[in-house]
Amino acid sequence: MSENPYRNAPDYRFWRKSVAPLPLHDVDPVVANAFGIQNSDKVATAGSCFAQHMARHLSMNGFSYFVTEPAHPTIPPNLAAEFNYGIFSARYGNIYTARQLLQLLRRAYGQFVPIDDCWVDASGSCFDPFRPQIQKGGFANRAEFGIDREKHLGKVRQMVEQMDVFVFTLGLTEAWIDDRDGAVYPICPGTAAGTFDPGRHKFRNFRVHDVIEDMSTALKFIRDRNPAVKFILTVSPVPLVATAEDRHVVVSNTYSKSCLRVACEEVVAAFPDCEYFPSYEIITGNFTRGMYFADDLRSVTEPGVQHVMNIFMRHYASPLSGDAAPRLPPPAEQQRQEQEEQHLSSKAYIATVCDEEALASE
Amino acid sequence: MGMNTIVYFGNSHLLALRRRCLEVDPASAYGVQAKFFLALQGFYERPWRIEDNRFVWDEALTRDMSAAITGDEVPFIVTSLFNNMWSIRATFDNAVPYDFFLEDCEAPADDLPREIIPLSLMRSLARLELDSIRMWFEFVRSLTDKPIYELIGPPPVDLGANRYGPTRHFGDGASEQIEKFGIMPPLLRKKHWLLFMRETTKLCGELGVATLTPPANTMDSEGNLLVSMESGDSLHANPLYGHRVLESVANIAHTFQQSRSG
Repeated sequence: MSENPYRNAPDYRFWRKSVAPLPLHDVDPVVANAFGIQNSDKVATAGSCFAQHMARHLSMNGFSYFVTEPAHPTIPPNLAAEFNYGIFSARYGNIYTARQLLQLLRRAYGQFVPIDDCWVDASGSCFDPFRPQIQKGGFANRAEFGIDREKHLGKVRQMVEQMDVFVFTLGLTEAWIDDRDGAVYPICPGTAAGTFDPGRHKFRNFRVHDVIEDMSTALKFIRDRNPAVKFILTVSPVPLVATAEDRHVVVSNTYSKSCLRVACEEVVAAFPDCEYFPSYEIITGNFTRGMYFADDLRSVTEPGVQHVMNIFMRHYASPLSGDAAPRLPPPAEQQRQEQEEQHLSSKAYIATVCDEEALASE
Repeated sequence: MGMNTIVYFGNSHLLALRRRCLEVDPASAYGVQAKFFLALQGFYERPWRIEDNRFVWDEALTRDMSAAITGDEVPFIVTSLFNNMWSIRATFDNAVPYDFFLEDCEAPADDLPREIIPLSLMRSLARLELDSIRMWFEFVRSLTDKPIYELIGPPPVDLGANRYGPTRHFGDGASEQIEKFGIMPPLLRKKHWLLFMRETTKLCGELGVATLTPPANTMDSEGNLLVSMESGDSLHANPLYGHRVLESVANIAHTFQQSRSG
């Protein structure tokens, strides 16, 4: 046999060696990472519902999960969580699209002020069109709404300028836009709050070049204000709740995830200190035989999240000494036993705040 | 049918009524008898204990209350259970000063740069704190099907807490908190009272309990407790307030009696 590029290549390049023969929990698609994360590094997260799992596990594993917009200290933690404090680094809710992230950054720095300012319901409660489910019951009035929004945007600026690592989970390509100024909503108006106006609320399914451009612009925007920040991009493995395209949701889901995955590849290639982390592959790869999805075939089970985070910790937790170091995952065999037990016992999953679910709440 | 007896059950806010009843004979002053069950140190301890992971009501209290409320001469029960919650929360200021907007009051409490906590979150906080008192209502309800009226406690006196706060004993650690952070400004104390009063009313509605707000003749035009009604501790009212409340309860009892005899 003559020399060729595959001969003597490492095992991880071969499906036969690195996927097929391995127990589920030993499949580790991360080969190398360019940087590690110290426990003192401020790690901020944003993105779709799956980003909340990342946030939760970062805290559990001893990382410094960076929250710039916590609840007032008089509010007990459980109640604060009900009102979405501490669930996101700043209280922006789910950011499903790259365009939404870019828009948030521009709003935070006063570069964009959407025409759609505030949704007021019949009782007078006010809702933020760009985080409609962030405040259970809405804001009491415009004054309260305005104060909270200003504070929120300030906390976004603080996050941008002070974070050391930004983990962003891309979730969707489908979005609804205000035709007047291009403002993008996290969720279709009229579902969780607001009123749908077919005259100005237009559907947009972003193409791959849109996502690449939006994501690149967003990362550059952040790095211009925080040159040392490192980026980790992931794609949410959680399938679409519904599609606005007139086609089967499975087809739309494949388009959406493929597009986001390609966009990540392009952005990572163009940005130094920007890596792709394969959450999507770990959860949806055929080696899992669907075991990481709950009975709704959409929610990711806790063992699935743990598999993702074990790999994340294995590769990104810097080898620090002492109690201050992030906790490394247990040895593979122990992990496997623990996770196998969880698999057998249940298909349990930890619920996340998922605005998108309002699309199917009819 | 004999003279009506009103059974009062609750916390220290009933002291204003009880003191008044020690000053005068309630039967001759108001035309109704009054019987008090004070869930306080020295009267009754917390009226339950936990055995085998379940609540067990205090036998002595159960026996005494059951005996007192049985019979046609007791038309309803008056409770005072939720009242302290707002005051505990609104006595001393916070390390991070906060304020909130009520539906009908957006005025800032003072000139401090206070963090605005959204009202819906404050409402949930109030409900969370009020919910801890549900057990007491369940206790009373377990004894009788008669109507229950919850007395909403008196509103704060304008500047009352600021006058008395530093000298009153608020419990472990509270005095230090007052020294560190000061007393909440009067408007913010009143906002807390209004918030808790409204949430108490909603909660009582859910429990099938009616509420009795403080009589109008105990408050000034701003809704503060009249200075002549305060007890001097920033929290409770005095026997003059008790007199006005007893009058108002007696009026309800007379209406009950008329409807029965009619």
